[in-house]
Amino acid sequence: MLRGTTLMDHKDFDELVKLLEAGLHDVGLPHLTDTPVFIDRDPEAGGPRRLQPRDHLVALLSALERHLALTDRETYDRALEMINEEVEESSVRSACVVAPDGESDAVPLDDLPELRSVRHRLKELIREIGGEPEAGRRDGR
Amino acid sequence: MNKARATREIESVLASLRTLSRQDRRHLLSRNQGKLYELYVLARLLRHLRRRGFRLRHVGNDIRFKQAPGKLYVSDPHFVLESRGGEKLWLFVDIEFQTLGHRMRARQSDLSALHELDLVVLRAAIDGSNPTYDQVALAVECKSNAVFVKSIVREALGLRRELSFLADPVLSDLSRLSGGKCVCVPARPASEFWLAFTDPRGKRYVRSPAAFGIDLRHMQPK
Repeated sequence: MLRGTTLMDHKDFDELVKLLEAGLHDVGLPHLTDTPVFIDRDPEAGGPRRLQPRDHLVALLSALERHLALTDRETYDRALEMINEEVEESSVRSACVVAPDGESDAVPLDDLPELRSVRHRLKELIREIGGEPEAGRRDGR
Repeated sequence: MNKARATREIESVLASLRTLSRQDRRHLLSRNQGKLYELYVLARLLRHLRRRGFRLRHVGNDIRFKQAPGKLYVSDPHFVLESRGGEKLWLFVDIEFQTLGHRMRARQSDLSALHELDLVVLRAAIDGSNPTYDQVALAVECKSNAVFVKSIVREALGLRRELSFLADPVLSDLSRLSGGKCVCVPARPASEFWLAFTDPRGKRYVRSPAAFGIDLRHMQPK
């Protein structure tokens, strides 16, 4: 065991799940905590079973990261860059969403926040928690 | 990592979201994630089409997604694909097409006569029309849901049903035109159909839809 670290157990992960779920509700993203969905199914082993708390935490963090990816200016920039790499004369300058009436102002898709830093921190957290053996399973199995 | 550090990290991420500006928070909570995902999948689709041998040209200055998909207008921004053999195809976004069922019912019409397609490659582009199912060479349904659920697959099965009959596998129309990579589809007309999704869990649902010519593709922005 590394000095200064304590392996987390089921109870710890459960509490972290509750912390994260409360926070997601607080910031207006309750749909990411849709608990009935976090059930693992193994087609060969049979029926559904609830995710273990650590896996549940990783699943929630990953869902948040996926949501943020689709609100991140970086995703928009990268998509336009890819499009212009593929088409002749690279003429695509922007993307927007138009209303059905055709008269309301189009909503530009480039007016998005920079979320690279928070997404990076999330990915690091997912990596560290996902790779962490649980308490009582020190052989890594 | 210990619990105290994990707690701090999670609270730090949540704090970053709470302190976004009002405008940025609006984006976080808006419905436009779907359209940004369509843009990302469009980029991946264009790369795929070029690798299959098509030359690609964009018409217009921008890309305009629609809150409510509708008819095809050639004045709308779109892409023109040209095969090695000189044949042309057209790629539009957010179009409603006329279903196979609508044709079978001798065009008796109700709200079920049209279904939406997020991204569509067409063999013909008739201005002011809803393309028919047999004009579709490749259809893409984009699912930006952060969590993949089985109902997404059921929806795709329904859409596929309205594009073509189930048939013995044949070379797809797109393969025949591109002269490049050969893709076979169990469909008549021989259109290709992608279901693009962000949650890797969707990869657990691949096999049964494949029997009906639905190609599940995990596409997640890095």
